[in-house]
Amino acid sequence: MKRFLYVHSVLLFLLTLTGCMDYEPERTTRLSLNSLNTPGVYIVSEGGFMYGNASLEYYSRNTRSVMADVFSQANARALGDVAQSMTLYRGLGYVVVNNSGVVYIIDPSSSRLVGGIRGFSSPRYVHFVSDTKAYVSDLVASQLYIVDPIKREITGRIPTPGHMSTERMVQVGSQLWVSCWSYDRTLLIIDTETDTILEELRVGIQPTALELDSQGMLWVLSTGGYPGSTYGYEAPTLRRIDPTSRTVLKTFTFPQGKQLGAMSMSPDRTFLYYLLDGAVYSLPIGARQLPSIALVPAPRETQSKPYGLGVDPQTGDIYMADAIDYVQAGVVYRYDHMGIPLDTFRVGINPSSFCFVP
Amino acid sequence: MYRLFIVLSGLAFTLNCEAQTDSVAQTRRLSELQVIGVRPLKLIGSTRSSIDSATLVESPTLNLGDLLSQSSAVFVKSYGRGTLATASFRGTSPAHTDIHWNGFRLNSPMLGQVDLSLVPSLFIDALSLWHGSSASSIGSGALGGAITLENTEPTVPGHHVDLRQTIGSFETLDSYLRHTYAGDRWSSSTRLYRASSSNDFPYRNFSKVNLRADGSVNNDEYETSYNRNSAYTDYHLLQDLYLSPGAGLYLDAHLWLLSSKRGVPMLQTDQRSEYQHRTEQREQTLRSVLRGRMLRTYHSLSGTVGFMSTHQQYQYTTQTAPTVFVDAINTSSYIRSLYGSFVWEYMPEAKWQVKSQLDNYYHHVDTWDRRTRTGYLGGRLEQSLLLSLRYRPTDRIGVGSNLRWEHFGGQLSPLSVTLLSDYLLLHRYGIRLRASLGTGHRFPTLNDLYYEPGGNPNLHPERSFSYDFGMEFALPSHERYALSGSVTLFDSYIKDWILWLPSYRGYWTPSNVRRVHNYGIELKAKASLQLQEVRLSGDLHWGYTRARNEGEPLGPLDESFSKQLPYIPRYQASLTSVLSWRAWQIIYKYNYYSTRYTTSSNYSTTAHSRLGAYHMSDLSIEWRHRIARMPFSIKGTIHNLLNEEYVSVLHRPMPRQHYTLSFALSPSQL
Repeated sequence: MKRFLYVHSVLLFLLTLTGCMDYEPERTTRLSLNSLNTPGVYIVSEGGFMYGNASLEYYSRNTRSVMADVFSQANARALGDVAQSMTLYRGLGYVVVNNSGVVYIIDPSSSRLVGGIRGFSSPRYVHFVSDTKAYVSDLVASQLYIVDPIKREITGRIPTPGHMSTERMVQVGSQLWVSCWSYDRTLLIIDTETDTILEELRVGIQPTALELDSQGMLWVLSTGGYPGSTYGYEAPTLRRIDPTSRTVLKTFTFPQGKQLGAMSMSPDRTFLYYLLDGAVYSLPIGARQLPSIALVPAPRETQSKPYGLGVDPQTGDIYMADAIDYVQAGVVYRYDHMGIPLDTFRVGINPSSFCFVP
Repeated sequence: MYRLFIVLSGLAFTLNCEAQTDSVAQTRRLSELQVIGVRPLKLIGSTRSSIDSATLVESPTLNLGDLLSQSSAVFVKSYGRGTLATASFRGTSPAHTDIHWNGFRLNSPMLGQVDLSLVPSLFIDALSLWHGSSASSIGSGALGGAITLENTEPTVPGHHVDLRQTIGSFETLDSYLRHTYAGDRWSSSTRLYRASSSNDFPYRNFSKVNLRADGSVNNDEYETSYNRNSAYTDYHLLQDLYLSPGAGLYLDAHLWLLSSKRGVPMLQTDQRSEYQHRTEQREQTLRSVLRGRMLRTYHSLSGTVGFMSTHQQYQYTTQTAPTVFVDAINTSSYIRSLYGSFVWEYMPEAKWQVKSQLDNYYHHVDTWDRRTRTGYLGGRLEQSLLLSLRYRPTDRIGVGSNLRWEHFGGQLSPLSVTLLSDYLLLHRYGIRLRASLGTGHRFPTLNDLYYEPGGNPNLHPERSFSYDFGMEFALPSHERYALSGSVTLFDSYIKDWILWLPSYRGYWTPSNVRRVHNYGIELKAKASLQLQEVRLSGDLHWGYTRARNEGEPLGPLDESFSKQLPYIPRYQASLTSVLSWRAWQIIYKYNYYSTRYTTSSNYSTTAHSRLGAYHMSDLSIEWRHRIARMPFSIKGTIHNLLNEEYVSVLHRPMPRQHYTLSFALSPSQL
């Protein structure tokens, strides 16, 4: 018995030698306000779906420096799963984290959290109507959320029957135009005063991005779906719509199979930029036909295709995000408005959208 | 006569009829008997390891994933307690691991992998691991390795009952009942198993932003979260029948019914309520196998037919308004597989053996998502012909080869060739050198080809070339001690590795993009020591795996070239040590994985690019007794002995120290 206890004691002693796991809280870092106070851009990196490794990076336009993962550094917490978009309003940044079901509110000068709004299913974008009213679109809820940014709560819902999702939003006067992306081909026109749907407009399959040009005309990008889709598959299109008469003025159709991605406007809203097969094209809003030459060709010797696009509203510089293989730090390419390369920098995993800070 | 004896011994080995020890009464860790010099022809040059039967029946709470992580050099990736667990050999993917149950391949024709968390360890009587090209003897597509699970005939005559009940933390209840009957001509085994747990363990949430009800932030302290939406309830029934009508004819039939309902745990970072957003997966599966074997003096014939039917439902329900719940995902998949196999083995003398095996699978998949109205309906005939030869010209030298042709869905693969050899260097210490070299192919799964959206019908089969060599030894049998071990070096290349990546259109799609070079070392040691009434034994596995991505970089800024594949540890180890004294037994289990990277570049600007080294210790104490001549045992286990806080995969929490208490009763000889 003594020998048994002896061996037992030795065994237990050996256990104490076993190392502990390297798992601990993230540390809070006081970010340099000087860096964040310079004009630049927040890059929203989605991370991998169901891995919770989304991140925010800040790129200073003047110093050309990148501050990585600023949300986690400033708050010692993870941003969450699939960061979708970031919108500035009244000096605060609203970061929508899709698969965490939350909109975080941060101070863009420090990336520190100010608050958050919960209660969404799968939020995508925020659009502000006033200081006390904003809309939040959703990928799976058949409705548009109405929120009060000050009270940080959901105050209402606009049902969108017959539509599985709501996506991008643009306001024209008191009317909100909303694209319905998932297995859909509809734009909704909503009265922001009564919060009711006024009309539905049929466009190309899978309408995503919406932009307003300098003449008050609305542009809508439709990806066309995918081969074999039960909803249908067609060539991707760009449409220019008169929001007053609610009629399509012009439809640009791309060859079927082309991958039409993000869209953005020049600062004066006279040029439209879009991503086609990883290259950036520039289209004057009055153009009658599509450009044949890319302003920025797809990055050379690269098989991956950038799918994030942003245009700095101050300088007109073009930012293009490349996720490479979607499981490593992505890359952002910066060009001037003529398409001349200015900078290339690393960001988080799966960078997809930009939020410019003046 | 001697020749006849050897021949029959070799053929009998192919039946995998290992001694059954599934009862309290029989669960004894006996001194090992080292048999040196006579190695079955079937194993020439093979790197094969097995988990002993005592370990298999050790605890009702163990599933195959737990078992492999604690008792082998296989890497098990677990997404949390009571959720998906997969196994991979030598840096390959779970789809490169073939898992066979009584000859029937369990890998899902849709996903290519097996969820080990749904295989109770008590449903396995014999388990073998076939590493690298040795797996070519088992099945096609096993580019990393193969695992064979067998049910074996009860050996205790008459009726026998085994009852086990476990209660544990987080309302965990595992109940097991087995009845066996063994007669002269036939025998039967019936097993029932139920496992349930609320699985809502608490943990300190280092990741989640702490939001108050008014939307303000309280990040001064870390929230104590609970593992949400993670309850599970599983039911299993396994019926085995064995018939020996005589004249060298053996029949066995197996039927396995499974019903499972499991929550999909929410990530640590999720701000949604589990009451408003629930993801659940349900599965009902029937698996059946009927085998017949006929043994003759110099040859054997065997035929197998099998059928599997599975219904899997994955449902994500979300509350969009106070009284409105909608299905964001509601996918139903019906999978049906038919299997037929014919094996002929010829062994005219002890020196050589010829085997041919024809396997035929027909898979049919019907998957449909009610919300998006997408899915696919597909079927595929998969045929594989194996010709193998083993030759042992002298007692010391053995050589063998496997040739395999495959025909999947109308597509013929190139010939897969495996060459095997071993050499007995030193008989006294059982020192044997072995080597193998082979090529292999794995065809895309039905999801790879047809999934909507994203399936890619233009995929090519993955191709592999691998070789390994090693040495094993075993000291001569001694009543007080035993020692055996092995070392294996391996090197393999996989081309056209199929990888799912997000596409431009917002969905994922697979393509043949990756080329991976895996190499490393596997060490195995087993020892026991008897000191009067005290017995100490240990089983150690250690492995170093380098899994390098050597695919064409996607561009000049792609930093993944030559980096370790995500989630594959370079180092791993497992140790099981048992200390026995009279009716007492202490079991200590330790499992180690080195740092695992979560990105293909092994680096990221974020704080989530790696998972730190994993050390896990479990300690059990068991006491065995007899009540009214009925063997009885009680066992307490401390899981996560060192009370570690950790995650298994990014933002998938695992429980800190927790406990189970098991009772076992074997009212044998009813």
